[in-house]
Amino acid sequence: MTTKTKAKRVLKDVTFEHQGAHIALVSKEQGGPANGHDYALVLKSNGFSKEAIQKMQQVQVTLELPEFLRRFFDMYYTDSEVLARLMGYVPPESNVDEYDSEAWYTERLQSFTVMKSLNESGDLLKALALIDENEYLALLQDQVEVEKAFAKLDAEKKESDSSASAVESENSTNAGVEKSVEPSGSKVRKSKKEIMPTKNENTAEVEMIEKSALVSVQKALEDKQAELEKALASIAQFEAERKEAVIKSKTDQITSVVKDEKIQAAIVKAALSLESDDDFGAFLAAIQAMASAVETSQEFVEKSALFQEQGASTSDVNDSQDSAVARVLKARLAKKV
Amino acid sequence: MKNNENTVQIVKAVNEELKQATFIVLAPEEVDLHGDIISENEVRKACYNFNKYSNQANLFHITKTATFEFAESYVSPVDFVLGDVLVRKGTWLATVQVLDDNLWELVKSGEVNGLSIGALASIEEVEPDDN
Repeated sequence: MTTKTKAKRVLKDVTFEHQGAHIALVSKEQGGPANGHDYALVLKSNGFSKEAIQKMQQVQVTLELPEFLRRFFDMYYTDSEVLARLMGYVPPESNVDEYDSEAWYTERLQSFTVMKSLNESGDLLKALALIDENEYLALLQDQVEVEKAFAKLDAEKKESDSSASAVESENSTNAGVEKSVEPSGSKVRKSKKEIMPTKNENTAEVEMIEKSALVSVQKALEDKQAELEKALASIAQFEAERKEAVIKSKTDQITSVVKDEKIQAAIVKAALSLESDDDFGAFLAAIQAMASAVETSQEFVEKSALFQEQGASTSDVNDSQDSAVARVLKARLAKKV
Repeated sequence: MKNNENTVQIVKAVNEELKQATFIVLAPEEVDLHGDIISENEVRKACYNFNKYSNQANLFHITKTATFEFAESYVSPVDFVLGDVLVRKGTWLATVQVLDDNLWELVKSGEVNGLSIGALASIEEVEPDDN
């Protein structure tokens, strides 16, 4: 900060070595510092005034209940809103949503309020008579949701219990469970008006319905299991019969080709050990070829002169083999005689 | 919805408020309110002398005080901007550590608004024609 004022004096050798030398903080009332820089360059207080700090501390103090529930109890937005309002929280006007969410919260709260008042009232019938159609409808809707949730929970529990024993028939079991649960759900709906009179009766009714649903599911499951076992037994029997027939057929084919009983058993055994029909066919063809070759060779052997005994006649040999000397000798002997 | 994170930060800020303020002690080649001027070299020497021999805090040039002390005292080596003020090279700056809440309030409000030296110095009268 420069000034155009003319300097009167030049300062030199400024020293703080003597007693009482200092630098002083000075005030506005005194006229501020002589250097003319009557301001702080930096105030290291993060720039928040006392008022600002106070205001922001108030934010902490006035943390809204839904926000509190969400942050510290991990609740969903809508749940925290409903619970907060149930506890008496009134949202500030600025927080009211623009669209129908307000109506939705009101509706939810209304049904809870009705349930609560019915629960607390001494004469339920009288209390019921006092609620209007909309309240009653809201109450029923909530009740349907609650009962559905219970039924679903129950079904899931049963399903998990029976899954170990019914792994093979999973699809059919699931179908059975679904079918058997639905009727119980409709039963629950029908019994809503009966549920209303007293709280204890209500609880008992729900328990009875849940038990009957469980029994029906179990029965259906047992029936399905029995059917499945029967089907499996018949399939096994059919398989055994088919296998036997195949073995018989193969044995017949082999024995028709191989006549020799000594080697028949071994060849049949070898043939049956072949798993695929193609292998068996090839084996059979080979056996047939071998058999026909053997037959042909036997015929050849029988007909061939090489394998026939050919004896020589002594008379012919003598005749043909007499030499001239022998014949002369025979002639002389004959003359002598 | 209000931001809770802000709240947490603020609480910390209150606890950790530094209560420090930085002022210009002497600026070179500037005529002060008394018509005095000082060179950059003399400012540097004065700063060094204060740091070495004094560091004494005083309130209103009236009394020694323990309500604040000098956290740092230095000469700017270059021109730079601090806050929204251009600080020239050779300017002597001091940061005070305020130890008293009332004084801090006065500093923050601007009632206490600067530093002033209480020292001995040689004075040379400036001839009117020279300037």
